[in-house]
Amino acid sequence: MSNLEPNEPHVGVYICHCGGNISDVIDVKRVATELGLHPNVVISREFPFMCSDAGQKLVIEDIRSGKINRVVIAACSPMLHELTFRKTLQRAALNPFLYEHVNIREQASWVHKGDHEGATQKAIRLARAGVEKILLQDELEEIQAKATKHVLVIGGGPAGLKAALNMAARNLRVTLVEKSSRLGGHLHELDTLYPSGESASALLAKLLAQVNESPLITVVVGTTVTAWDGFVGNFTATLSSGATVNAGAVIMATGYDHVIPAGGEYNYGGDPRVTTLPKLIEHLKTSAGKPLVWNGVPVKSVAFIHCVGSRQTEGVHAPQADGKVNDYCSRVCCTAALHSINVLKARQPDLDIYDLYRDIRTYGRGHEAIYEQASKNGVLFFRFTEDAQPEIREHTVVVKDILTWGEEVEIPADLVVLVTGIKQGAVGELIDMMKLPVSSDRFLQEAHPKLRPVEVANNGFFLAGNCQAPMDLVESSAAAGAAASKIAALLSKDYIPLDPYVARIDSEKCTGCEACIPECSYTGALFMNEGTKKAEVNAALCKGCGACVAVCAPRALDLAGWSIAQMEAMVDAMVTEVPA
Amino acid sequence: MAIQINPKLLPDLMAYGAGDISACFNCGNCTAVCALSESGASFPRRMIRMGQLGAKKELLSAAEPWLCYACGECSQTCPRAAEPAEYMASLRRFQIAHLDPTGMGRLWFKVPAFALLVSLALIGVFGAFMISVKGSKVFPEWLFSNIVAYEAIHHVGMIVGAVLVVLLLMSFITLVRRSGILPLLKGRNPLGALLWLGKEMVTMKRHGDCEAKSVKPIPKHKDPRLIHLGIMWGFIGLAIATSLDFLFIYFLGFTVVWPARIIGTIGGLAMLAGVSAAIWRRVADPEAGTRHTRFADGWVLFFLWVLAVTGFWLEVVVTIRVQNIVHDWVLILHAAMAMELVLLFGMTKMAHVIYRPFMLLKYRLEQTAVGNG
Repeated sequence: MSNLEPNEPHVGVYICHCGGNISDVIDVKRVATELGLHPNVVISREFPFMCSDAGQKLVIEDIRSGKINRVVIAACSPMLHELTFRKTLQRAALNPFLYEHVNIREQASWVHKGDHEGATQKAIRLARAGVEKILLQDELEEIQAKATKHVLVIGGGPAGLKAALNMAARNLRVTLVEKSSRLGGHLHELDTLYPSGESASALLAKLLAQVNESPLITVVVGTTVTAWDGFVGNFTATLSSGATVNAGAVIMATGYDHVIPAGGEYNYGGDPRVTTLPKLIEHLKTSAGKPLVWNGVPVKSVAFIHCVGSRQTEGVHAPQADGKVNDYCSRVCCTAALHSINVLKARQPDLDIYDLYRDIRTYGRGHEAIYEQASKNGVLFFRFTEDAQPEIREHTVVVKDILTWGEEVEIPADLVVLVTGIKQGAVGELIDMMKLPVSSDRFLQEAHPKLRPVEVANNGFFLAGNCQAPMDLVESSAAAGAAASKIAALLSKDYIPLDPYVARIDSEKCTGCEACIPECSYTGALFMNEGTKKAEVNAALCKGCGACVAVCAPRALDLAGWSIAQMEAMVDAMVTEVPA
Repeated sequence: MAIQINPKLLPDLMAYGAGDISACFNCGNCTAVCALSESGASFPRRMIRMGQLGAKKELLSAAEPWLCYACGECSQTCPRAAEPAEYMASLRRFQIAHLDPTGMGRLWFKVPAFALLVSLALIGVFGAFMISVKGSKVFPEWLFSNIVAYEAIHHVGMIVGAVLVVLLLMSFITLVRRSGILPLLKGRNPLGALLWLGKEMVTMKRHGDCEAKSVKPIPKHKDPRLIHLGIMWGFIGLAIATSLDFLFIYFLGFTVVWPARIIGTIGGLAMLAGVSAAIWRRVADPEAGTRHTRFADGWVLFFLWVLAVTGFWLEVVVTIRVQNIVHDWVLILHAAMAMELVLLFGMTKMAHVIYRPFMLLKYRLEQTAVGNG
């Protein structure tokens, strides 16, 4: 039926019902018929589930029969199934980039539920634009970056150690860089670990022994990273020792700092009977089994105050160094405090313990049992609001207790323990150097909290532990394992495949005006070739944002797969009237 | 004044019969299910929190324990088995026990062995006294006056009586001060509140309201309100009969048997029936609310039961005029136990006769003050 030349694009269009998600609103038959009228469209079908085996088989058969050599599927969001269908094309031995995914679910049926005619017309326009785009698509090839099978782990706390061990177990060489003079991080401070109750020192000794035994792990302590260069698969880190490390990927395991209560907060620093949870835990570690003695005085009653340095409110709490308050929850402190309370109670059952909280968040597996145990141990709980902070007086703490209908309660306390939170460590320079994204709470930000929880948007960077968010040991250990397996997958081949949607430059047209250079946000992605005096693109570093294309007057720059010509054709298709 | 915390008070409250109220996590089911809780009042939850805190002052001054009639529905609803009903009962004991300035009241409730010993000793003392006065027939040759001068006995009796009055007065002053009722009376005419209280005492209307809203129907023979009305009205009937008898003899010089006898018999029967049902309810089928009955509670019921039975015994004996030494022993037992009940009035459960009406009055004054404001 086709009167197209064999070398011309033959497009197959498939309209997915998404099991009613689309077809209940959009007249899919009409969309398929309308698209079939396009001169380059040789096949136009609709099908209940394109992502199903049957749907994919349909595409594969149409390609293999030689009827089509370009594919447009109008279905859900490309976030969901673009990769699925690229692989379908691959299986049919067609270049996977000759595929265009059109979103008529999120962008049409779901948002225009009440307007079936409008949604159908919109679907036709979007699908037409997809056809026009794919007609102008080049046969792009995956960019392949060299994969250096060596990983840099920054930070030698438990997360860093676990990550290094996990990667060594996958035969990857690891350099573990630790700023301080010893490995172990905050694990040195801890006494027993919740929820298992095992000894932190024993666990650390075990981890260190494993790291020492591994021939693949090189440990460098007392050292920082001073300079950073390169891209995924081929980073170069310069260390403070002067040495350089060549790495295919990097794991950030830089950990956290304890929040130190602001000057005078709860009389901290002024009253020797006011301390912090980390200090109490250190004391517990060095006084195993003994009754609690503070500054030489036996303690009969202890009051714990939660949320110090966490969940802060502007106007109530003093801001941190950067002028912002810590409005996030540090998550681990509730359980840590209750665990310490249970340790104290086990040593000294007659010790009176009072727990002043805003909300108890014993969220993790086994954590609630720790709260339950503290309750059983006779701990008295009091609840306060952020605008009525407890007040420290001589040997007492006074609080307006919500649990007593807001009445003022006077609590005897020989020792007040401030349950301090967790904050981002002093890694500002490192973050600036590596240009890593930081969330509003100053922690490093993952690419997607659910779909890519240990990856940074910057290719080749991974997160393990508290540099990302407050986590307990169970969680940082899991994050370290996840990051390690992500890296193992990334470095499993000799090269790292990257999307070809990057800027490309036509040297003939480039006038060397340099207007594009300052527009580029990615170091090394776009640069001037000193010899030719023309701009050049490093495809491994380019993110395909298009900022350079927009300023290029001679139109020497263009984006592969998203070219200006494609955009124009799509716009023309979208504004063409659809017959009613 | 901020509430003072004392975590060591909880074990003490448990000695008065409270369950493990530290288990309470403040869910509020008890308040939701309670027929007597009112909007804006966290009854019985507020008391539980105060108990957890060991806020002794607040616990002793609270009227809440006396607003509760121990239906036990809160204990059945409690998801943490904190037993609020038992706790409220323990607070009533706790409050009464802390009236007595000698501290014996606390021992009486907390240490059953102490209560038993004191109780037996007093029966012995009063019994011995009854035996050795003139006219006693069991051991006619035993006479106090042979050993001690009659005058001395009389003086000791007067001093004991005076001490008892002083102690009871001190207890009452403690009750008035602790309850904080005086500020509530300032500048107000308490007549309305007193009338309300009178009606409430005669009919026990609130207790009736409580039972009417009960989720579970209460069989009549186990109905605590009917049981209590029986005991209370029986007591009042007996008091009227005794007074009538006394008045007739005093003013007319002879006794008119029948009016006093009829009232006394009906009263005695009502009390016997009530006390028997109350004992049976506790022994045979303890439910939420009566499970933690203390020795000191059982003691009162036991005494009342024995007094009622021996009272009838003597009545019959007097009416048919039989002579037997056994009846004389019964008379001695009856008199000794009655004396002991009166002597210990201020520090046993009997004190509720004053305590509950007093706290109900305080509650009413508070309620109407809020209404006026």
